[in-house]
Amino acid sequence: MPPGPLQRTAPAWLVFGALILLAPIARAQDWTQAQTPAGRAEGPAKAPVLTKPPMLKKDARPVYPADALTAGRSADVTLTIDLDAEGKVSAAMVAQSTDATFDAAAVAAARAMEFSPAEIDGRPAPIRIEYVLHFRPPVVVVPTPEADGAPAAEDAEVAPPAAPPPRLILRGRVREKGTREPIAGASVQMLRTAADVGSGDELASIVAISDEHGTFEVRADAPHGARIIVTEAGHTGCVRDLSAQETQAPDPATWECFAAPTHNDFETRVKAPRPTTGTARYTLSKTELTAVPGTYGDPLRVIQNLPGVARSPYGLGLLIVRGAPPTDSGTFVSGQAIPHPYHFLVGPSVLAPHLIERIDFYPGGFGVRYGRASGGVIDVILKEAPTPTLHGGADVSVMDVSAYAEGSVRDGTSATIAIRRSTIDAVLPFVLPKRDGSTFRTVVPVYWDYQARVVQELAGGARVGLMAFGSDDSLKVVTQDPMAGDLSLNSHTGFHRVVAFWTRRLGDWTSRFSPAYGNGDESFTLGPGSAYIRYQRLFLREDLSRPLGSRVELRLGFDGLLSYDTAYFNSWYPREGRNFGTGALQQVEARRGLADWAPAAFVEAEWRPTARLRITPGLRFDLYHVLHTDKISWDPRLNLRWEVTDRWTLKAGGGLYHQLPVGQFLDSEFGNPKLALIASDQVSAGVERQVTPALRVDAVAYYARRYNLPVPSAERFSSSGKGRSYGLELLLKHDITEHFFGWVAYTLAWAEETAATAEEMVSGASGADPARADGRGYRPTAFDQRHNLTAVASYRHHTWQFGARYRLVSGRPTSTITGSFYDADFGGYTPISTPASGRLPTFSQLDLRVERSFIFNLWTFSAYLDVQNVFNAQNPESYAYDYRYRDSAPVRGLPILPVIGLKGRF
Amino acid sequence: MRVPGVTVLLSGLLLGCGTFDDPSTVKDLRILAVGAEPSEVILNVATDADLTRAAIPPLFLSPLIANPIGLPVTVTISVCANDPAAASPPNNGTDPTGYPAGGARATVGSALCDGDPTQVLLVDGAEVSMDPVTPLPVTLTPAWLLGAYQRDVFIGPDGKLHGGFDLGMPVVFQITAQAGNEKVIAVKRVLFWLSPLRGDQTPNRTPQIPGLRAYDRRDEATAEPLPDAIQSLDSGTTLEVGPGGLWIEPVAAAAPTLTAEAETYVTATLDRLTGQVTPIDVEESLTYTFYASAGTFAPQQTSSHPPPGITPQGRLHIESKYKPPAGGGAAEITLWIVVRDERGGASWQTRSLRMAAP
Repeated sequence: MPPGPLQRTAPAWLVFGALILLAPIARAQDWTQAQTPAGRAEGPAKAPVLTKPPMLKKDARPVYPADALTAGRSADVTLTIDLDAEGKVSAAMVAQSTDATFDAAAVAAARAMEFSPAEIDGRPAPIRIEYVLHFRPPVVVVPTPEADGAPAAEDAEVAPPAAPPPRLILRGRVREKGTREPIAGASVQMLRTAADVGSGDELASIVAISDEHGTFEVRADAPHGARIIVTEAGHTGCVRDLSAQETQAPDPATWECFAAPTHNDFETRVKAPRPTTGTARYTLSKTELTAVPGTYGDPLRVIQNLPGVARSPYGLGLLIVRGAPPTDSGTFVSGQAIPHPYHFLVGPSVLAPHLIERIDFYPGGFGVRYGRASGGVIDVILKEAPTPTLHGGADVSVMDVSAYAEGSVRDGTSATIAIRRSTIDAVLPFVLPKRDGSTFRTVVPVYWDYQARVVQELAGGARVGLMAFGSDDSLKVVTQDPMAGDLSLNSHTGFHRVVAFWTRRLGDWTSRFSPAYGNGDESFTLGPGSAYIRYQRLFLREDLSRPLGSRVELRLGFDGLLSYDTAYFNSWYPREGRNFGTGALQQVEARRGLADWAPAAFVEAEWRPTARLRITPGLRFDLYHVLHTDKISWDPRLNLRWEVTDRWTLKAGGGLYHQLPVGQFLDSEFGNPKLALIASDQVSAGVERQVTPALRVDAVAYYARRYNLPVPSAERFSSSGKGRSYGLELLLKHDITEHFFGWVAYTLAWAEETAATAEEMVSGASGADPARADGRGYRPTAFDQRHNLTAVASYRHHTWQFGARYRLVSGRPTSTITGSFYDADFGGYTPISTPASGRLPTFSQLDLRVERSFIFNLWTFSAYLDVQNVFNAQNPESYAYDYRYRDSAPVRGLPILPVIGLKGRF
Repeated sequence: MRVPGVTVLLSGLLLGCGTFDDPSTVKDLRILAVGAEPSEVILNVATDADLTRAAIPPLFLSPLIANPIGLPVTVTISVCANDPAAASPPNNGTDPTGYPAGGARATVGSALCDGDPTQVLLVDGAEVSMDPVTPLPVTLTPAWLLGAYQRDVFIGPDGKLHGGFDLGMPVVFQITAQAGNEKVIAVKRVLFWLSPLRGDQTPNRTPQIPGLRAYDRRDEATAEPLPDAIQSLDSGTTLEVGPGGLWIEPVAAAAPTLTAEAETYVTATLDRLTGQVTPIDVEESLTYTFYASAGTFAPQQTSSHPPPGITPQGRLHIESKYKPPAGGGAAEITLWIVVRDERGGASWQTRSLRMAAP
């Protein structure tokens, strides 16, 4: 009996699996990093590349659950499949499922599959992939007239010889909706009509796989029409039904398919396995860097939510790492130090998010390739990989406007440009309080930055590139003295960098040669007084690495810096004598022209005595020729990492770290050239536990002894300051999955010192604390925050993304003022207090962010609302006192601050 | 990196602070100034032995105490040596000009004498008169001064010892005034030189306020008083003040301004480059501070030299605008105008105002 028009085809199930094995299948998991071979240079020198994706060799049909079949239910089951270096399935887990009834069948089918091995950098390597099984009830096929008439044809006496069936040729391209990125590795399946199949039913079969350009071609016999299905994990599918006319048309059919992403917009879908040379290193993916509430999508501000980083008062972009003052931590961009990571005030970082490949943050214990810093290190790795597709975008918010574009210039050459300019200077005058009697007139903060790069791929995997980036901040505050006129305060800081790089193979060596030029200035004007420093910098950096046998990788390098600074200083000071009262100030004018150099060399060996143990000893040598004096440092460092099991890792490290004091403290006229290098001895130990594929715990205990700290003294400054910091850092992190990422960071920290340091003074941290100058014993520093809890969560549902950040932080130390006395010579009161004897109240703040995206085929549009301090918590940042220190009032931090922004991407 | 300092400043501007009592309004027991005669001493001794035999001139300290409550006031005075390492730089670190010179001027301590091993009680609970102010004699012994000199030494930027022997030694007096349960404390220093830096060095002469004038109207363009608005504010006279207030200006006897009162004097400085003690000639700066028993002065303090960053428009104005209390308040208002130089010299004038009938 022929099937009726609405009869179901048999068998009663249809499964089509989607093979989605392009590079990017693996989710960002440190778990995978632990399984990958070592032997790669750290940082930007060489990112491992998935050179060959695994391919399905043997498919396995899952059993359609009977109940689900009867009920006609369908499901999509996303599996996480671990493949060993031979392509065999070592584990299969359900990552996500729309109907748990199907899970067991999906896992069973996955375990029976076989793949070709994946290759990383040309070598077979284990990998984790995602695989989506789509369970669909049987497809209803409308029988064609020819099919219905088939029996009659059998009765015909004379049947002409059958003509060759028309051949379907379909040329298509699949791209991601919104970004237009080609989707490689998408499976193209075809389902023919029953008439073409003959008796029985057909399982949809893979007829093509899209290539790196997203293109595919289908050639098949389907004279009665067909359904073409394109699927890939991480994207919705594309379906096109071809009529008989189309499948028989003489010309090839064409199809442009746009598949909407089901993953996050900026998700890094492969995290390169890289060795860790620090006990604690936190790496964040692009989504994590751009979607944290309260950071306005600014990657570098996200760092402030990680363990070991103290909260910055007033929302300022100060980087306070493990109790060290901001001047002791370094920010590097592709290996080159930059003077400051953030714009003024609550401004963003000086680098646009689009150019950032990743950010590595070391709260301490960093490897020998980094130097001239004794606190923590941020290394911002800019994208160096070519970007063949033209992309661009623009962001507009009340803070700033920005735009970027990137794409291929010609074969093997790609370019990127990004610019940003503040808008807050236009907004601020409307929101500043206007008070009767106030002498405050205006404040005009303006910032802008730019980034550009050109990258050329060369033969043999070599690559050359040129990057330029810079930042500019200016600030003007005008107050008016009703009797004497205007008092203006102008401040400007800016820098520019041009960085070239050349990565290549030299026999067994991998080389990255990176010269750079930079200049910049910082200037400050208060009325007729002014100060500026202008500097020129030449950087020369060479990073070399090579394997020594199968268990050792040797890394060495040169890190040179040549600088020429011109400085000018013009201000008023009391005479260096014994006068009382404010007195007439003496105008002081000074000029400097200084040529300094600071070569450094480092060597490091990564030794793997076993597959799970990594020992990394290193030594760094620095010479500082500054202000006509030479200072040297030898910094040995050692890091151990032992992957006890697949889920447990122990780690430990220690080393010496040195850096120069801030330049003005070394000046022969205003400072002390005899100051020693600031030193820090650091040790740390920790443990990592992979709880689930997406969830891990990281705990690190640390101790740092700091010494040779510049402190004010009768010699202007001396190196007699000592400090210490110790504590425990905990991170519970849920890596990015399809809908969620987040983390809880908790730091228990002590940061202590023997006296208020000059660096605290210069960072402004002690300015609001008038009674800190004491030279006895250890006491908390201005950056001591005993408890620091930060929770970040972001949930994505379709085109909506919701985020929250909550912070609960101990207040910073203050001096408890118990009284005051009148200084009859100065005409003012002096507080009586005990330094660092109290604390500000606990800081508590909730920030929220919501973003809605509208995805069109060729571009996306997003609108977001980022609200800082949702409950308008009145967090005191310091205290103001009356003239005789009897009454006090808290100076509050930032109130509720909503920021609305719009983003467009193509 | 001074950027954070700037941002903290801005944050303060943005977020504001609390509302506090105006420092120019005297509501309770306060020491407003302490006069010293002489305010600077040159001993003319060359050696320690000379010092032990030196004749130390008697000192008279005159605390200007505002006592709105009217209870009897007793004064206690003790003395201690300067501790060059105590709570520095001067004014306990609140002096923003201390940066970037670090602790180089950390040579004038700013701590109380209480607990200091060199502390000696000189006056114990003497009852004092407010009108006129009672000068209290204090006597220092050569032995105590010798100990103070030995205490007041530090290693300078040149790596050598400096201190009271070559820069002048501040002798620190702690004055405690008590009226009923109220107690206030002040610190006053007198600079002692072992010998003159140069032959022409003379001890400080206490600055004076020869006269005061008042006016309620002025040319807003030039800030000069309108001629028909000027009134003399002589001692013993009482002016009426309307709700609009008055400008009060210290004046010389025969000149419109007081800049001629500032002395040029010889003092020692530590050369920033060599670290050596160098005699220099300096024109002193006079500071005028205004107080009222009711109402406020703005600005509370003026100076014979412009503050940093202020570009004077025309002559430098040292007057202050007195604004009576909004609700009328006291019918009789006491004003105190104190002048200080930068060498410990201080004197004052006291006047009365009467609120005009509404």
